[in-house]
Amino acid sequence: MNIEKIRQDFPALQQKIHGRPPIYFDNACMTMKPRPVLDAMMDYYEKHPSCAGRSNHRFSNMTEQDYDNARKAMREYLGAKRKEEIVFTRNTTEGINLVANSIGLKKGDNVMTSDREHNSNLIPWLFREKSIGISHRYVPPMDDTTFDLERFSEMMSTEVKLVSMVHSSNLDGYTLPVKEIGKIAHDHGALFMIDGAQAAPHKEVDVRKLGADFYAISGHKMLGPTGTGVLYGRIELLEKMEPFILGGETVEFSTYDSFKTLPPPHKFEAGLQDYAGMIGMGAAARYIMKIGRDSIAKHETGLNKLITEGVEGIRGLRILGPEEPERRGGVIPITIEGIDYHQISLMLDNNANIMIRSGQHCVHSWFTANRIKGSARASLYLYNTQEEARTFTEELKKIAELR
Amino acid sequence: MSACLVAMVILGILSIFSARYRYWAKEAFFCVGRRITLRPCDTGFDQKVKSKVTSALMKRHRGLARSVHKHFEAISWVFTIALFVSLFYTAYGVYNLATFGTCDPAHPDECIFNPDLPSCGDPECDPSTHCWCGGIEIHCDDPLFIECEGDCSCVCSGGDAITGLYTQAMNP
Repeated sequence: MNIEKIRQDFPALQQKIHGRPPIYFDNACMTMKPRPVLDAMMDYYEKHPSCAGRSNHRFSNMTEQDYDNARKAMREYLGAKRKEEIVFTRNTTEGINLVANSIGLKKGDNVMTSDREHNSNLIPWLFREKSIGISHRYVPPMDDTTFDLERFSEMMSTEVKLVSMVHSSNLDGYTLPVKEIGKIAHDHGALFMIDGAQAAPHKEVDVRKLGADFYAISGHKMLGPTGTGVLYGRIELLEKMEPFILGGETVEFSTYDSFKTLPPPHKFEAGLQDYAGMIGMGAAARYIMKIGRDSIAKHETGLNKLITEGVEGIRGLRILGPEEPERRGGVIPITIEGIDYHQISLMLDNNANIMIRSGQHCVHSWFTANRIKGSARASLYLYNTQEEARTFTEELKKIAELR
Repeated sequence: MSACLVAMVILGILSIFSARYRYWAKEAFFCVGRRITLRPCDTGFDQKVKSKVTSALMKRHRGLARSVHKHFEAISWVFTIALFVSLFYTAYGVYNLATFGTCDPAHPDECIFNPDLPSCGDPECDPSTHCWCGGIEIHCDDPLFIECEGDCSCVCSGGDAITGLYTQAMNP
């Protein structure tokens, strides 16, 4: 992996702010966009900004072709069997909500999650609990905060209709043993959904090998445009599911009192789609596949190790989550005793253009349960360098001296 | 809270002259509004102010930055109190200027906003017929007249008091 060459593809990283380049360490929230993604989107807008599928003219055919290629790229990216299993969404949240509303949950059904779910994979279940009377349970973690597979196995029963778990956590980068979780879920007759927002951009994902019935991801966390995402669903399940939103493009025909929906994925993609966005996401998937996610994961772990070693010994500094950087992927959530996490983030930005995220990272439930107010989270990606990692540790040392 | 208050006033004044401060002034105003209605300032404005100040100091003097960071709330309150004391005196001065023609009736010479007073060498000034007391013209036949000084100011033994008495005498 030639990082310097890769960085040339990212216009946002070429800027100078107060004479210094930006150090972007907020990749768990949003990633930068490479030139091929921007070009693919501009290509649509400049050459054939038209509807896909609905019309028969030249521009429409070009859009249809690019849109279809994007779906194929996403199929390959997730290891799905058929492109029809790829439903375009706005983001992971929408994918999860689609499942929550379409798999026919009934009163008394149980949905099981882990203890470290993003609000996107918690609130939909709490809402269904209130609205239709399902019950939601979470698996308490082991003492070292990691997933307790044994406990999960004990908690499973035939009442559990769906197990919905995060693949890699956005709060500390910890990856759950999803393959084993999926097997246990299936053994009990439950469906298995994975929130792959933080995993799919950073590690090889094969939904079939993982045993996922559903796998939801966001385009903006994998170099793609904002407002794009994918829900993978096994075709047999998608065929049975009712659409979540209905309207244009979702039906074959309609009369004044009836309609017939299209087969998946179209019955789930109502209204005019974000063609430019999806084409851009497809370009992002191809860009990442060309580099290789194994290389990306190795690079991120290397940087995480460098930072973890660099901050060792800083008084009052603590890294949340597993101690070993290898188990945190590219995520480094820190707290410094006596210094507010927002202050850490703001000062890193003010002092050295280092952009990180601070707060509870939409995992309020975990922070509340663990009585931690929040953290300053650095999250890495393929374009981050060792020099940036060293600057980050140096600046953290300076900030820690303010205690 | 205190940092927001100071920032709101200062940014409010700056934003009259420059649009670049208006966004921050609005945020400070919003923050103060939240705090005085006993709700938390959820924009993080106070945090932003603190980090800006600390970061600027870190580049110059680490020790000072550490002290400011540690005691930011207390320092903010000192600035807040100083700001309100200064605002009070400004308002009082403006009131005096509007009412008595000088921002400091007790020491009219020290008020730079006083209208130009005639001096003894000035043909307009006739020390034998009138002088100025607290910015108010007093004629020699007024009962409160004591004597004129060289710069045409009255010798006002009571300062504000004599001005007040004079005003009362003139406007019963």
